[in-house]
Amino acid sequence: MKRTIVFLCNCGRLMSGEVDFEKLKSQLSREPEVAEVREHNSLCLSNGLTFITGAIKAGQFDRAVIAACADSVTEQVLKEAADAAGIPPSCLEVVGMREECANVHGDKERATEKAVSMMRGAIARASRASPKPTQKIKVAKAALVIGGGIAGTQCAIDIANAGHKVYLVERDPSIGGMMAQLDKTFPTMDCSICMPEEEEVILGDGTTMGIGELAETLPDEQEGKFKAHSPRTYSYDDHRLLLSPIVRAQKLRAPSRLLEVQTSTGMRLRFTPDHEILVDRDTGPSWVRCNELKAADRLYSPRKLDVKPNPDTWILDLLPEHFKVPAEELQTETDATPAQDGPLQSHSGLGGSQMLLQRERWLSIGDIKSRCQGSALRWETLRKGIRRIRYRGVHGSILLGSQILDKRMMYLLGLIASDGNIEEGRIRFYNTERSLVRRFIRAYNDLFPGRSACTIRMPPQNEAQRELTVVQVKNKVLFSIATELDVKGGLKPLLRLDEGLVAAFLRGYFDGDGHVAIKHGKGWVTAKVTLALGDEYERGYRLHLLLKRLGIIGKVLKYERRVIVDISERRDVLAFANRVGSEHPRKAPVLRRIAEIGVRPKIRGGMLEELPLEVGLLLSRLRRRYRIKQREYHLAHSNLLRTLRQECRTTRENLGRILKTMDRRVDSHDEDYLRLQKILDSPFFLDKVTRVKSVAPKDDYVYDVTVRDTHCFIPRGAFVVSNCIEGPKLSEAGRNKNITIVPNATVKSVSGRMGDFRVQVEVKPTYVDPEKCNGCGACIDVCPVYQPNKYDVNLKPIKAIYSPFAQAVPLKYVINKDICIECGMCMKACGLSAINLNDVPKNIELNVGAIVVATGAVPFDARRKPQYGYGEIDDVITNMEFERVICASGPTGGLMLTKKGEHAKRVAFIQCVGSRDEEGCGIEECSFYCCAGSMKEARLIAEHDPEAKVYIFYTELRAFGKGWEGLYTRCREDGIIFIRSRPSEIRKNEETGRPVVVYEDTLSGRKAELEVDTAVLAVGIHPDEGTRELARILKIPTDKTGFLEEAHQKMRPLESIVDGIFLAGTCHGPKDVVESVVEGTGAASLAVDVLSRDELELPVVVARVNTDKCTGCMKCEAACLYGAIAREEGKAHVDDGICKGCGACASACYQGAITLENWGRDQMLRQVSAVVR
Amino acid sequence: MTEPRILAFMCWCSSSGADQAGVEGVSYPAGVLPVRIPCSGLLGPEFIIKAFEKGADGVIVTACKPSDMRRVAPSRITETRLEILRGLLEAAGVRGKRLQIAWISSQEGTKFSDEMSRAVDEIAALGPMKFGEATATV
Repeated sequence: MKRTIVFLCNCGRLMSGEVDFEKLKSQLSREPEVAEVREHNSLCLSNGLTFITGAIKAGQFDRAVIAACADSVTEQVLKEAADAAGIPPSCLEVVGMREECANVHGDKERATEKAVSMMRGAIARASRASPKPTQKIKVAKAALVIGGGIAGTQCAIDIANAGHKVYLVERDPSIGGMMAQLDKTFPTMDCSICMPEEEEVILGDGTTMGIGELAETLPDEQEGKFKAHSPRTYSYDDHRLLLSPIVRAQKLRAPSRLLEVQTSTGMRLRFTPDHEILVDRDTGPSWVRCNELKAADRLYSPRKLDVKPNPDTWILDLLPEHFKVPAEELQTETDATPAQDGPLQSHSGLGGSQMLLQRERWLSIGDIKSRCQGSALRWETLRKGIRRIRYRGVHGSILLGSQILDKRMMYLLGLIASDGNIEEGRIRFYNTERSLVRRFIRAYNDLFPGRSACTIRMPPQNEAQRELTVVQVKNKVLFSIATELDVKGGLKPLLRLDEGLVAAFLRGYFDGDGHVAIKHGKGWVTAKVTLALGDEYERGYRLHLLLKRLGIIGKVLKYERRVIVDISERRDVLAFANRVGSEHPRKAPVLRRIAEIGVRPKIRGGMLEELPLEVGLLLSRLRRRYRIKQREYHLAHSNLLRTLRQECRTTRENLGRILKTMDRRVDSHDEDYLRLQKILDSPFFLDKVTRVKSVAPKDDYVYDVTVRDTHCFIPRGAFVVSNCIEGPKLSEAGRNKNITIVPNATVKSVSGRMGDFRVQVEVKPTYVDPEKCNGCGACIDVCPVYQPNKYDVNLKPIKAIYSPFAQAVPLKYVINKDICIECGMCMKACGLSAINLNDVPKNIELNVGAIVVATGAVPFDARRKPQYGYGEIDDVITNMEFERVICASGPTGGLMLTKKGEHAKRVAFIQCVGSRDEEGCGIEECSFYCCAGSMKEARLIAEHDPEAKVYIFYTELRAFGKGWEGLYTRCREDGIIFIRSRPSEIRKNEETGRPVVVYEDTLSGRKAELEVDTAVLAVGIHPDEGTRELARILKIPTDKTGFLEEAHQKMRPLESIVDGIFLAGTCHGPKDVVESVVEGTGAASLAVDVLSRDELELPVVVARVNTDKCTGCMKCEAACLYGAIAREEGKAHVDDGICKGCGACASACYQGAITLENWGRDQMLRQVSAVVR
Repeated sequence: MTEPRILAFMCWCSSSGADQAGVEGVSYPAGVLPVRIPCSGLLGPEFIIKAFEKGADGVIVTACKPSDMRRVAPSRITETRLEILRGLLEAAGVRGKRLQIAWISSQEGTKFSDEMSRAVDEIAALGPMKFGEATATV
């Protein structure tokens, strides 16, 4: 007999007004199982809960029944209180006395009778309950996201940023999904692409190239190749300066305006208005659009540009090839061993002593080089011995003092660059400083012994001037070198040289046109170095770059109609004094003094020394964490506070000092501390934006480069900009430490329940080892098989071995085994043995706590509407195919071409193909995005070709999103014609071969035909076979179109009915990109809710099979509508994760073998008897 | 006549409806004695027969509408079962009309009380239950 305690809650005097408590108490006390009846005013309040716990503990009861209200929160709270006292929740019955009895019956006597019955029933039920403690399971701290489109990628990023591990399983070789195929997205027509032709990209070896030129010369992305040996350029990754390979350079139509961003170091760069730039914000570096930049925003700019220079630059390589060298100086090792004379000797008689027998005593450089090719002799060895050069002209031959470009030559060139003049082989150097002129002459004589330099003295023209000395030399060699290095022009080739040579050049320039000044004050010293130029901004910019090679930042400024390069910050001036120096009699001592005494500025720090605002945040966190006192910082009080509040920026020097003092106090592995170290050592400085100006583009196209490994690059060595829009998300997913991308994988089975799913994933083999493959493309060259390219919607074929697309993540090669003929040519061509044609599929098992399904949808197959002639008539295409055609990086380079290759001048869009078409193809739903999608595409045509005529045949224009109405207005302004009609067919004009749209204009009522060059069918999106298969595996219901079903469309739109499996993206309904991203984030928060718990309580109410009684008739399986029961080893087995606790199986079982936990037959029968009695 | 004693088997959804009725303060006859069950699918004939055996004048089964649950709703089978059970009750000598069904979802407090009142009226009209009141016409 169980000892039961009964609690009656008065609900604050409410209950006793309706139900006679005294009678209830006396009746219940007479029940055999009831040991005690207690009354209380408000059991749900805290004193009531302690009352319960106390009373149960005092009497050691087994069961409890509480008459209270029906509120589910109250029930929870009461159960917890009882549990604390030792009565598990299953042994406690809460009767909703208030709602079911007290509130609804006016008759007190009857209500009391009913109350007695209800309590009796509850007591009977409680007495038969089994004291099962609730089970807890440990939550597996990982999430699985199925599908790597934009929704899945966003979801994975959000879960990963919340600190949990994510497996991103994707069926294709790369993540990206449908959005990766789109050109621009509406309504903002985000450009992925950016800069006009003249903007420059600095490559890793110091060469600079215009971005347009780079785009033309970079190997075309043929046949799905990416090259591993592409040129490298500077890029940024979390305060590090990297040299990353350029994967492709893209070309697009220029918009109507560009924005020119000007900064305080004098940089001026032009971008399209929505191009993103890295700006310093108080949370750290963030991407901001150009058109949202404000003055005083700080941009990240590299401090020093390291290049890999050639070890030695030989003068001979800089000279024109018609210059001649004497044959006798071509000494080679072959002299000693005549037997080794190669073909060169037999060809021309060169080599060894036979040279002297030559008719020609002089050979041109070009000649020698061409003969060296393909022979045993090498130009690099031959040139070492050459000391005389000859050229046509008055002066015969020149003796070289040194054959390598050395510092003296660079100094000379620097002098010429600043104060010299070169023309027709004559070089003139002008200066008023006689000792400098002497230096010039001395250097010249050192380099070219035996040459003369004539000097002219020009008297001053007025009193203000000093006497000018002019030195003139006639030296073709020097002239050629100066021209080759472009010292009077753009100075571009100098960037490639070694640091020491650059320093020597700058020294020469400074001696000629530079200016230095020191100012003293009480306790402070400032210095400034200026390099003056004419009025060419370009040269100033080049000097700025050359200074950056040495790690010195010079500002390019305009001063009295002239351009100067100004170096004023302490660190840079000192660097200049130490590394560059001077030989000028008056300037040199000043620089030496600067180097000696150092520079102590009046106000510490300078603009270039300022650090990101994030530093303040990190410092304040450290301060709180380690309780560091203010005086330990050694900073002026006000400055520190303002820095911590992120109102001002601190400088590198200050931070260095702060970190040194904190060194002892702070744990060296503290993440914030490490980040501060990283920022301190960062090779970037913050360049302030002074102005953003709108300008008209000079030509038709703009360009961008896609850089591997980071999604940004640094044009002109100036500041960090991004490339494409989706690109950032994809590479963010690829780089995030918490995300593991599993490409080429499909989910085979899922078992378990929320918190503890076990997932079997099958990974298809790619046949290429990703660790070994370096993307050289040799295998692609030799592969004999072509296949249609799914990414380019089958418009441009690729080989059987290919890489998905240029921005693919992961960017690895794949073999499509279905069409591969296994000839093995690729294996032979691969020098790294990365190909294994015998690779097999792998099965991996994942243990995850939550699953997000983001498998997306596919475009409707337009062949199901045969009246539109898709597949039969050329030039009838779908909107996805159109996207690839119009994309500048697509198969036609962005030109709207027909199949015959002509420009399409008339284009028609047909809306609602495969949507809103119950009769035609059985699909009722609107596909949501196609109206705006077609309007966007129509505008793209209008942009590319203003003379094209575009017609949109619509049923209704659904432009309800944010900014979509504006898109419609702009379409009308562009002259796009909207015709309200659903065309009945598209037929082919037999003569011209062009598609003809047959329609009835519903607004005017007339029937018409329109012949166009291209017809674009705006197809809707529908679930594909993969999603249906997945629904079967996960046991998620689908609706009649095949989309997955949510638990409740309004209240629980991102959850499926299976606990722990969430939905995001187009897999459960058509939507556009914005909504998909929103759902990705939403599903992530639901998943994180599960993962953030360490344990989950299992619901107690599930069906249990008594295997002794079970005969295996499986009537329960038929009764279970959720599919939770399966036959295992001849008996029924219930899957806990799916069972909803409805009990249909229990009532179907003849044997009584399957019962619902705590809703057993016996228990219920007793309850019924007790109630009715 | 004295109030009929009616057992109400309420599934989870419809007992929320009953609670809603309590919140709204509508009233219905006190003869309705509630027994909560997780789902009407759990109801086999034995519980209903037990109720009549012990002297209940009628039984009401309240269940949620199949459209309330997504696609999968065990309450769909409830209707069929209870139809068959009514026939069997007639054969056993109890008027089939004593077994009532009401489709109530969790927010329908007023509907709950209306249905209860209607059912009680119908059962009251039949008078107190005794076995053998119905002739066996299967």
